[in-house]
Amino acid sequence: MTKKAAHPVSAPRGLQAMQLRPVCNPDDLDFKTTRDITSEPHLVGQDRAIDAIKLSAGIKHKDFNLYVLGHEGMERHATVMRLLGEQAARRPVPNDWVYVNNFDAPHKPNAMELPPKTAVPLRTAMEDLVDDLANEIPALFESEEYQTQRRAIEEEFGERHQEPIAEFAEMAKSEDVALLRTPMGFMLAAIVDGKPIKSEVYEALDSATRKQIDEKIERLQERLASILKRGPQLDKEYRKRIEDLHAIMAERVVSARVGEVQSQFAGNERIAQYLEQVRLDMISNAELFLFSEDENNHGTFPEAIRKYHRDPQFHRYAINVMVSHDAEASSAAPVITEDLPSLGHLTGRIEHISEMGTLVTNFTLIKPGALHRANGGYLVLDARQVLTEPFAWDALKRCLHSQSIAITSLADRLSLASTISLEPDPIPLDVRVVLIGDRQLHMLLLLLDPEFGELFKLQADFEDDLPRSPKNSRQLARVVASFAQKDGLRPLTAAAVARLLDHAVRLADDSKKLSLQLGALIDVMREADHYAAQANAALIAPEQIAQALDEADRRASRIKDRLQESVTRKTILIDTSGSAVGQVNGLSVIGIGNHHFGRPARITARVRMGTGKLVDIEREVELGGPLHSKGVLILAGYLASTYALDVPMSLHASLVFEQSYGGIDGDSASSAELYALLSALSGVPIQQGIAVTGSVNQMGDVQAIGGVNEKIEGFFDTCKARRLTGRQGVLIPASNVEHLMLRPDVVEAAANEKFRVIPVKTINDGIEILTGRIAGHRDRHGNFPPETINALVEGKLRSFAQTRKLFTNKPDQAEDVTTAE
Amino acid sequence: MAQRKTRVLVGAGSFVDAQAALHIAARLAEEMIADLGGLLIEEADVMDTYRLPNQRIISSSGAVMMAPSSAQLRTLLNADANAFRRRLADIARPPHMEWTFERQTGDLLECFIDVGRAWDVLIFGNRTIHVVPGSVIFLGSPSAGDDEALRFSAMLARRLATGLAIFSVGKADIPWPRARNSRFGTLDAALTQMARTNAQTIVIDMKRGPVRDREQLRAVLDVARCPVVILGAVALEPKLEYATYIPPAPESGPD
Repeated sequence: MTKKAAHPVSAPRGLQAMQLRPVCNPDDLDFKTTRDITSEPHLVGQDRAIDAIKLSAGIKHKDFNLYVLGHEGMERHATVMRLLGEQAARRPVPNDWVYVNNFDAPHKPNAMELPPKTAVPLRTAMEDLVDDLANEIPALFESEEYQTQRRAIEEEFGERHQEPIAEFAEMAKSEDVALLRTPMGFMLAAIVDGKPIKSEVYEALDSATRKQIDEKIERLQERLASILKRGPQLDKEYRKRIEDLHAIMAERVVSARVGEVQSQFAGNERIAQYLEQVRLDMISNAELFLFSEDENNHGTFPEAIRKYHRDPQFHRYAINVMVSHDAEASSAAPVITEDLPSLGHLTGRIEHISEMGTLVTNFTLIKPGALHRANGGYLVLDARQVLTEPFAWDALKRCLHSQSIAITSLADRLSLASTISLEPDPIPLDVRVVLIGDRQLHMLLLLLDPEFGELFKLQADFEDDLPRSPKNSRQLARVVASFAQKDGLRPLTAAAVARLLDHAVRLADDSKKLSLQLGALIDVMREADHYAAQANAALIAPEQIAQALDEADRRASRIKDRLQESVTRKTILIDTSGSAVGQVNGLSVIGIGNHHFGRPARITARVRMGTGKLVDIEREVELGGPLHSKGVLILAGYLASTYALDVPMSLHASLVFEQSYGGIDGDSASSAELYALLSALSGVPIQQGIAVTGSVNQMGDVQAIGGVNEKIEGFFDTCKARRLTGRQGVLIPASNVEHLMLRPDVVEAAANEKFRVIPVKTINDGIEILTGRIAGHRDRHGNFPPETINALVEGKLRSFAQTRKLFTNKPDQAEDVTTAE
Repeated sequence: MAQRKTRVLVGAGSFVDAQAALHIAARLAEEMIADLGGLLIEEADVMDTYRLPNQRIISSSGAVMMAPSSAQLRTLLNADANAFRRRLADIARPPHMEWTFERQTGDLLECFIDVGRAWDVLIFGNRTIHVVPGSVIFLGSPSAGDDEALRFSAMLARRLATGLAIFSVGKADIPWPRARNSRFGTLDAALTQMARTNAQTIVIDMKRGPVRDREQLRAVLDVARCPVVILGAVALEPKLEYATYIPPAPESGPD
């Protein structure tokens, strides 16, 4: 067996075409064109997510809000809206909500819950009420009845004012005392010779006369003071009587009109209470309606049709409708989406208007937010949008916690505005919030926000793909066909749908799966429809699907083409023929947005005697990521545990991705690096027409990697540009065979034996194919067969160990080695 | 023929007294005033009375306080003059009226009559001490045929949004639609009632009576607790014993 193993290994045949691209057979589809499909399935393979959505939509308990996870283009929004819409149709129409004036504390407007379809009629009724009273009250106060009563009151109080003063004036005159007017008030002075006494005359009087005058003046002063002191009290009584008169007069017409509104909304206790407050306020503020009469304009239109309710002084009787379900369309609970979920758009906002340079507000300037509109139903938001809007996430959580909508101004919260504001009554909240976002955001929220898990108890995780079975293929075909119909696209032939399903397989990166990225599939259909239109075709054929895919690939291939050109022109050194020691073509994937492509990279290894150190140059210069470093350390472990176990590892090796100037990560090149190392140690050259991908474990097993299709196609393109020789191909992990869904041109080349895709399970398998020499297994004595790769590697490692031993025995060199270590 | 401008003079002993009169002038300005004058009269007798020992002043609200010193009084009067001037300017601004202001010292009535003889309408300022709006009182004589002064009173009542009361001194009422009529045998009787009647303003026509001379006018001003609108002041005899006026005083009243 040992001797047999030393013989050269013949090159294996690659995988068959069907293994490289297991295409969908149009005959398996149960239609000839999508025109034949009548039913409209909405989604396939998302049962778990759909159940979660239905649970969230249907469950009554609070906090069962939902986070919908998944990639873009999975039809999450449409699915959520459809399912919520179905559930909403079974729920009752929520009540209307309005804000009305708080007549006791205007800065704290009252929220009022009304039966559905009531808010707008109430608003209209109140506007009509104000308009009617603005016409009727002034007329009432101009009536002879009112004028007479008012005049009587004025006369009564006028006389009560005048009489004492007149009597006093007469008494003062009779006592020869003058009542003089001064800027500060009244002054009394004795009259001498028909005129107020002068100071020099007064001084000339004898003391008895002066005393007599003084006493008289003092007495009259006291009398006058007592008369005048009664004035304010009389004025107060007068005002009270006038107010009472106004109230009595206004009460008749106001009560009659308010009563009409009350009868319109009979049976609603809350409206009745409010209307009673309105009635009392209108009676006590009847002058508001008189003021409107004074301010009337005499424009083109007669005063009778003037809309008085628009005047600012009547805003106190307005009804600010926050949410109303009065439209015929709203026969179910609301399902609301908010594309810009800022704080104001979510919880509502209080607007201000400028008056005389000052910002003022009132309850009519309270504007509803998405939570108001969705109250009693569902609110669908984009998670990332909510989290990026300042204070929106906090406000949403606060509302969900408290189950009420409290409107807080951002300016107030940040103390940016110092103007009057309002504290509206919070409105009770009963809403189911659905956040749609990606998985990373969901994980971050769970990790960083302890409240998130409490408030969003449910998650609907959309599958990225579904198993590829004939049944699922047919179902997915029907789904994409229904989207084509809804989009108004041309019907697709079965072959076109099959070609599209092949693309779905490719998107899934797994020949056993079908991608559920419906958005991407629909985009391909749309572009294909465009090409079909250009070709005047009635149906979308597979050629148009292929054209759409090729064009999409071409549009994104500028960098790929430049790299390919560099290889062709030998700016980037890649050999696709011949052989070389310690050199192998590895494969990497470059991703730009949604477009990924593979490219070969030369990996070289150099070895010499050392102290068991394996230098990963990429890591040393910090161009290698942690996964790449891990792969290198694993292959070092493989070397140490496979060869020359009885001597110290005395290897110094270096590994490098040649002409790589960007970062490298992932361990998919670890098998290639190991092959290069084994070649360098054994001195056996590696065929450069075969590229390698696959990771390796410490046992020498080759493990699956990602992006296998792109890697194969990348090397195929390089070989094709150079010329396909039939000896070129790619070594892939055997476990990646199931992931193959290669381009048709690669498959065609393989079918024509121009290119091979060779699966390998172990490093020994791979090195044999690459070198054409047996790898070799240890015999019962623990030795590799001579001239095998493994024997050569082990021999080289032993020679390094012996050299090192001899070297360290030289006294004058020992210190240097120690230092080097 | 161009309409002759109506010239209105507001006179008072203080700005407090002038305020109600200025309010009436403002109302008239909307309709008829062409020129507006202000006259602040520092009453010599009153000035002297301030200097009496322990002299007190009773405010309109009944508070008793010491009379101000001469310096304080001077400051008060200057402030009153400034306020008077500003208010005149305010009233005159929107209709672009000419306005003048003058300060004089002397007897309140005499100064007012002397200056006012050249004006069409005089409004004698008198403070109001309460808020109850009264009516416009027209004090007239039935025999005089006071249509013009009566029309003026009615217009003023309308402008002040109040009623018109007619105090007729004579043997007959003075008829006017929707006016309250009171008839008195003598002027004194009318004044006695007037002292007890709440009024916003009193209108008299010096040319047509019953108030015709200075003493009667002084009696009216003594009992009035509101501004007094005086028409036909030119008819009052000048104080000079012999005087010649060329040309003669115009016959027409306010437009």
